Amino acid sequence: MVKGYAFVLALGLALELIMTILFPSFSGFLDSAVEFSTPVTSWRSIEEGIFLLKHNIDPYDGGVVYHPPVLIKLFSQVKDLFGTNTTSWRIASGLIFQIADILTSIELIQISKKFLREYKNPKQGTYTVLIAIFYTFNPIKILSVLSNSSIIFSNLFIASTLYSMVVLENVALAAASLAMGTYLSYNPCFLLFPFIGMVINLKNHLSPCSSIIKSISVALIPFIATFTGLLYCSYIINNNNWNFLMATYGTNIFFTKINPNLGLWWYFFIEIFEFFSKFFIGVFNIYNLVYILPLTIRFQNSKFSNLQINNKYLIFPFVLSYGFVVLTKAYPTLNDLGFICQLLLLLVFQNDLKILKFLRYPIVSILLVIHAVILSPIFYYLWIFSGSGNSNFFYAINLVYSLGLGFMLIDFIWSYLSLEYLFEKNNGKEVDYDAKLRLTQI
Amino acid sequence: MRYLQILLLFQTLLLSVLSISSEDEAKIGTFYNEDASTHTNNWAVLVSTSRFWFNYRHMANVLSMYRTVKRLGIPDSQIILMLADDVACNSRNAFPGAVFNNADRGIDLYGENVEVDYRGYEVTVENFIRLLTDRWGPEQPRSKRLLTDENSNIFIYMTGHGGDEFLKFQDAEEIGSHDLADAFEQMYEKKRYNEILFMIDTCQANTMYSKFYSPNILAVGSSELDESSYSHHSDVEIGVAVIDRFTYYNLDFLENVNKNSNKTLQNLFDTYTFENVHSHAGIRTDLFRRNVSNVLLTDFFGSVSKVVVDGVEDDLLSLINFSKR
Amino acid sequence: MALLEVLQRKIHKYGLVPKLIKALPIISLVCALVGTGWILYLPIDGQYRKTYISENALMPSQAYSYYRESEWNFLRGYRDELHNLVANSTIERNAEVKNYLTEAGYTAAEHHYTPSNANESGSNVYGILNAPRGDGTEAMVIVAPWTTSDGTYNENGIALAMGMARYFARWTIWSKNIILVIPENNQFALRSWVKSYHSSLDLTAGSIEAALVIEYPGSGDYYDYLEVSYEGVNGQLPNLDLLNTAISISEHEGMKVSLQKTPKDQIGENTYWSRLTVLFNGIKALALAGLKRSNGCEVFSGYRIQAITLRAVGDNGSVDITTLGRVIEATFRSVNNLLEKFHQSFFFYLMLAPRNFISIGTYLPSAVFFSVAFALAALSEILNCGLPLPVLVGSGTKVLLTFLSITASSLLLGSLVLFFPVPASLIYYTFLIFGLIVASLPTKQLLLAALARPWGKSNPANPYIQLASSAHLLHAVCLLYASLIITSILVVNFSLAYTMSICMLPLTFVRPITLRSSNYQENINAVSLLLSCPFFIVLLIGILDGDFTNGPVEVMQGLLTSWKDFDCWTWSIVIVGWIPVWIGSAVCGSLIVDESEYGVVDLKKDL
Repeated sequence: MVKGYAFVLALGLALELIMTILFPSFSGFLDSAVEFSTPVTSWRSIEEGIFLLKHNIDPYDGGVVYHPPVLIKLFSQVKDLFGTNTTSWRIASGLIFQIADILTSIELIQISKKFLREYKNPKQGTYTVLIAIFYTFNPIKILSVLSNSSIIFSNLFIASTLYSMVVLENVALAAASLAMGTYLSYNPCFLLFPFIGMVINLKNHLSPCSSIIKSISVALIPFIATFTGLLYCSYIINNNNWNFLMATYGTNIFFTKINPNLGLWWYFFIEIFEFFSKFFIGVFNIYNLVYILPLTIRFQNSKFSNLQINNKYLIFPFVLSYGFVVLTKAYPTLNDLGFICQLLLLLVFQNDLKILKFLRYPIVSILLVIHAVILSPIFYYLWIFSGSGNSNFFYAINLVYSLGLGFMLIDFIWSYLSLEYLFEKNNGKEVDYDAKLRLTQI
Repeated sequence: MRYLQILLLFQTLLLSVLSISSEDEAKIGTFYNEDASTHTNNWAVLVSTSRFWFNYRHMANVLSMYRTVKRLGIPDSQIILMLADDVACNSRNAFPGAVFNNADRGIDLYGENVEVDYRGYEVTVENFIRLLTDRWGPEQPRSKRLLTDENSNIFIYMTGHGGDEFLKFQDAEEIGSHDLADAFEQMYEKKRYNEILFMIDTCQANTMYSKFYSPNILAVGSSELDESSYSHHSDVEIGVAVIDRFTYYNLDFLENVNKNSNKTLQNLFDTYTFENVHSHAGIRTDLFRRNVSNVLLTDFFGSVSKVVVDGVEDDLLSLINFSKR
Repeated sequence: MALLEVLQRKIHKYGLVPKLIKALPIISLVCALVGTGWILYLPIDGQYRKTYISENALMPSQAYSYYRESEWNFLRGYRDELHNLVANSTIERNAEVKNYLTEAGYTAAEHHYTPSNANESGSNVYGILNAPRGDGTEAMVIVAPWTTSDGTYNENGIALAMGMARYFARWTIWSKNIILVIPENNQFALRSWVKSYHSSLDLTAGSIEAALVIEYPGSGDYYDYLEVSYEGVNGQLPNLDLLNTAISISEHEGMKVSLQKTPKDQIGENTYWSRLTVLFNGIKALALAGLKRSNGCEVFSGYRIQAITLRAVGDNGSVDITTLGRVIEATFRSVNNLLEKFHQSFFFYLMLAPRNFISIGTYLPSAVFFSVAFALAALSEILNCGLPLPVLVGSGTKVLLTFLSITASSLLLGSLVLFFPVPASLIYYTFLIFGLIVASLPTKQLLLAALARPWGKSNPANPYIQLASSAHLLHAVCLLYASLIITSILVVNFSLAYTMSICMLPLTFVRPITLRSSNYQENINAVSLLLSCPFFIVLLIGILDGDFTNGPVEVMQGLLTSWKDFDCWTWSIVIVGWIPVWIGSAVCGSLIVDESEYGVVDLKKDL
C-alpha cells in the first residue's frame, strides 16, 4: 500500500501546485489573513528580507523582518536562480513549502506505519491511506501550505525529531532536528524537556543499565552544538552582527509586534496599561512553559509507558507539550492547529486506536474548533472591514478557539490516563478495552 | 546711575502709597484679627480637562474664570491656563475666533489677549502634577511654571468630565483624587503655598477633594457622589451648551465683585443653592484654618495683598545716598 | 471541579445520558420553539430598551434650525422649474440641475454608468460643496433620486434637496464636505455612483460619514408623516445613533415618524402588537434587503457609510415641506458635530417603535437556539437511528463525498445562473417544479431505485445496512451543516439567519422510512420538504407581498440580480447553505430503509 499513500500525497501536491499556478494572488491573500499569517511567520517578511539582503541593507534594522538569517539567506540564494522571472519564482517558492509539507506528512505517516506494524493491525494499508488523506486534504492544511508560512519548516523539523527517534532511533539526529526547529521559530525549544524524557525512556529500553546523565548528554550535546552552530552561522551571515537575535527570538519573547491573531496574547497587551506590560510579558512567557515540565515528569517512568508496545517511544508528553505551546504561544496560526491535529493522530495509532475509546467529549471540542475557525474570519471582517463589530467579537472567538483546542488536549490526556489506569489495574495483562469505565477522577 | 535713582524714587513713592492701603487693611485686621490672610501673592491654575467641540462649555467655563481673576488683578504671568483650545477656531463655530459663555453673547471671552500656557495635547495629568509640584526639567520655561512660595494663595479651578474620585483628561487618561491629594501634600511639604482654594465643576465633583489631607486647603465642588453637574443653557445658534450651572452662579456673583470688595467666601457659598446649581454643591472647610465668613473673595480671586514694609525705608534712603555718592 | 465530579456521578447514577439521548428530538424541537418564542417575548414591557443618543457629540436639535418660510420661495422656484422637466430625458434634466448646482456654488459633475441588464448607459449628477473651514477629509451626502422607490417623479424631493443645497452653501459652520447626488433612481444607478465614488470618480470629497436619501413625490406643500427606512444589505444597519438622531429631530419638529411602513392610523401606537409588527416587518425587510425594490439606503452598504431614507408620505397633512428641510438641516448639523466615525451606538439592533429597540445581546439567543436545535437534531439522527456507531462511521467517507458533491454542484449551478442571461421566471419555475417533484417523492419512493444501488454496493450481502447508515448519516451531516451555516451568519445577518432557520426547521422532521416509522412519516417527509424548499418560500414571499403572479418571479429576479447590483450575499448563502441541506434531506427522506430486510439483531454480527 506504499503506492496508495504516495499516490494520495502526490495528488495533494498536484492540487496545491495547480492552485499556486492558477490563482497567483491566493497565496498573498492567505498571507494577509490573520488566521494564517503572523509577523513572525509571514512570507511577506521573508521576501522583504530577501530584498533588503540583495540591496546590502541590514534586514534587521527596520523592524519588518523576523525570520532567522539562515532561512532568509537560503531563500535569497534560491531566488537568485530565477533572476527576474517572478512567476517561476512564485511557483518555485510555493513548491518549496509544499515539498516541506509533504516531507512532514511522509515522516509522520512512517511513524504511524511503524506503530501499526508493531500491532500487526490487519487494516494497516487502509489506515495508511486514510491518514494520508487526512493529512493532505485537510482544508486547514492545504490553506496553510498555500499561505507560505515559515512555520511549515519548523513543523518539518519537529516531525523529523519524532521520525529520528521512533523510526531511526537516532538520538543525535533527533536532537539536531529539534535544534533546527528551535532555530527557526523559537517555541520548539520548550520541547527539549519532553525530548530528554523521551531519550531517557528509549535508552532505558535499549540498554537498561545506561546512566541518566549519559542519556541526557547524548540528547543535549547535539542539540546545543547544532543550535550554537546555527547561531554562529547566522552571526557570520549577518555581517558579524547579533541584532538578529532581538528581531527573531526577541519578538517572540517580548511580543513587540502586537497584531491581532488567533492567540491569547494580543488583546491583553492592547488593553493593558503600558507600565504593567513588562510584568505580564514575563507571566505569559512562564505560562507558555508552565505545562511542559509537569507533563514530562508525569508520564516518565510509568509502567504503562515502559511495558506497553510502542510506548518505549514516549511521544505522548512530547506531542501534548507542543499542543500546549501552540495554545499559549504569542503568534499562533491555523497552521499550528493543522500540525497539532497531525501529531494527535500519531497518539491514536500509537495505542492501536484505543485512545479514541476513552475520549469524553470529542464532538464538543471538534464543534468548538470548527465554529471558531469559521467564525473568526467573519468576526474579523465585521471588525476591520464593515466596522459594525469590534475587536471584542474577534477576541471572543479566539477564546472559543483556545477553549476548543484546550478541550482537545485535555481530553487526550484523560483518555491516555484511562488507558494507563486500565493497564495498571490489570498488571499489564489482557485488558478489556471495551469495558465501560465510569471514572470521574484519575 | 540716574536710571537707578529714578527707579528707587519711584519705588519709595509706590511703597508709601501701598503702606497707606496696608494701614487700611490693618484696620480691617483689627476686626478679624488672626483671620486675616498672611499671603503676599496670588496665583491661579485654571484647567479645562476636556476637548472637542461638544465640550464647548468647559472651555467657556475656564475662560470665564480666567477673565474674572484677571479682572480682579491676578496678572497673566501668575495665571496658568490649561485648555485644549480647540473651540474658538473650530470650523463648527458659527462665530469664528470667539467664545461666549452666555447666549446673549455679550462678552467674547476669546477676544482680548488670552494667554494659554498649556494647550491641546499638553493638557495631561503628568503636566498638571508636574506643574503643581514644580518638578520640571531645566528646559521648562518660567512662564509655564507655578512659581509659588509659602506666601502664595493659589486658586485652582478644574472643569471637565469626572466620576467617582477621578477626572478625565481629554478622553485619554484620568487623575484620581489620591493623586491630587498627594500632589497637594507635596506642595505643602515644599512650602509652595500659603492657602489653596480648590474649585471643581464636574459630575460627582465632591469626590475629587474627599482625599485631601494637607492643611490650609479650602475645597468646593459642584455635585456630590452619584450626582451629575448640569449645564446652564445652550446657545441655539452655536448649537451647544455654553456654560455649566455651578460656574455660571460663581461668575454671576463674582461679576459684582471688584478689587476693593469686602465680600467673603461665605457670601459666595451662600449662592450655591440647589435651585441654582441643580446639584448639591459641596464645601470642605475642615483643613482650612480660617473661618470662611472672614475670608475675603479677593484673597483668592484677586491680587490684593498685604505688604510688610517695616524697616525698609531707612535702607532705601541709605541706598539712595550710596548711589548718589 | 469537585462540583463537576458530583454532577458527573449523579448523571451516571441516574443513567441520565441514555435518557437524554432518547429525548434529543424533543429537546431539539424545544430549542427551536424557544428560538421562535424568544422573539415573541421581546416586545413585552421590560424586555426592550428606550433609545438614547450614545455619542455626546451629536447634540440633536440643540442648534436652532433656520430653514423656514424665507427659504420656501427658493424651494417653490426650484419646484416650478423641475415641474417643467417631467417629460424631459435624464440627460436634459441633469444638465439643468448641474446648472443649479454650479449657481449655488457647488462643483458639479456627471457620472455615467451601465446597468447590468442593458447596454445604454445612464447618468447621475452630483455636486460637492467643500467645507469652507473644514479639513475636507469627510463628507455628508444628501440624495434625491429622480424616481422614488415607488417609481414616481420625486419632484418635491429634488426641489427640497436643491433648496437645502443652496441654503447650506451660505453657512460657514461645516466641518465636513456636503455632496448632493441626484441619481436616476435609488437602486442600481445610485449603487454604481457609490461604487464609482470609492474607485474611479475624479471629483470626490473625502470619506462619506452619513447619507440621507430624500423621497417626496408630488408638488404639494404639505405632507402627513415621515417614513424612515434604514435596512442595508447583508444585515448591515446604520449606526443606531444616526437613526435616533433623525427620529428625535423629526419628533422634535413635531411630526410623526413611521418605521417599517406603519400605516398612518397606527403611528404613535405603542402596544405589544404594534411593537411585534414593527419587529417582524423589520426582520422581514432585513432578510429580504436587496431582493426587493431598494429604499436607497441599502446601496451605501459595505462602505462604512451610515445611511437612512426619509420619505414624506401623504399629500395634504399638517406638516409643511420646510419641516422636512429642518429635519435634514438639523441632522446634518448633528453629523457635522461628529469628531470620529459613528461608533458609539449599536450597529446590530431591531427596532420596535421609533423610540424603542432591542440590541444584539437580547435577540441573538433566538438564532443560537435554532443553531443548537439543528445540531441536536443531527446528534439525534446519529445516536437514535438504531445503528451502531462503527457502521455509521464506516459510511462516513462516502456520505461526506456525496454531500460535498451536492454542495459543489449547487454552488456551481447557482453561480452559473448568475452569469448567463436566463430569464428569472424560467429559472424560478424550473426550480419550483423540480422542488415540488422532489418534495412529493417520499410518497412515491421514486429515488429508491436510483440511489439505493450505488450506495449499497460495497456490502452486497446486505445492501440495506449500508443504505440505512448512509441515509441517517447524510441527514445528520446536513443538519450539522445547517447549524454551522446559521451560526456563521447569525451575527452578521440575524434576520436572515432567523428566517432561514424557521424555513429549514421542517427538515429536522425528515426521516428515512423504515418499518418502525409511523404511517405518517412519508407524508411528514413530503410536507416538510415542501415547506422548507427555498423556491416554495420564494413563492410564499411573493404571494404574501400581494402579487400572486408576478411577486414570486420578482423576488427570484431580486435574488439573482442582487449579487451583481448590490453585492448582496443572500443568493450565495442560499446556494451554499440552504439548497445543499435541502437536497441532502430530500435524498434521505426519499429512501425506504426497510429494516425487515436485515433485522436489527443481526446487525452486530454482520460486522
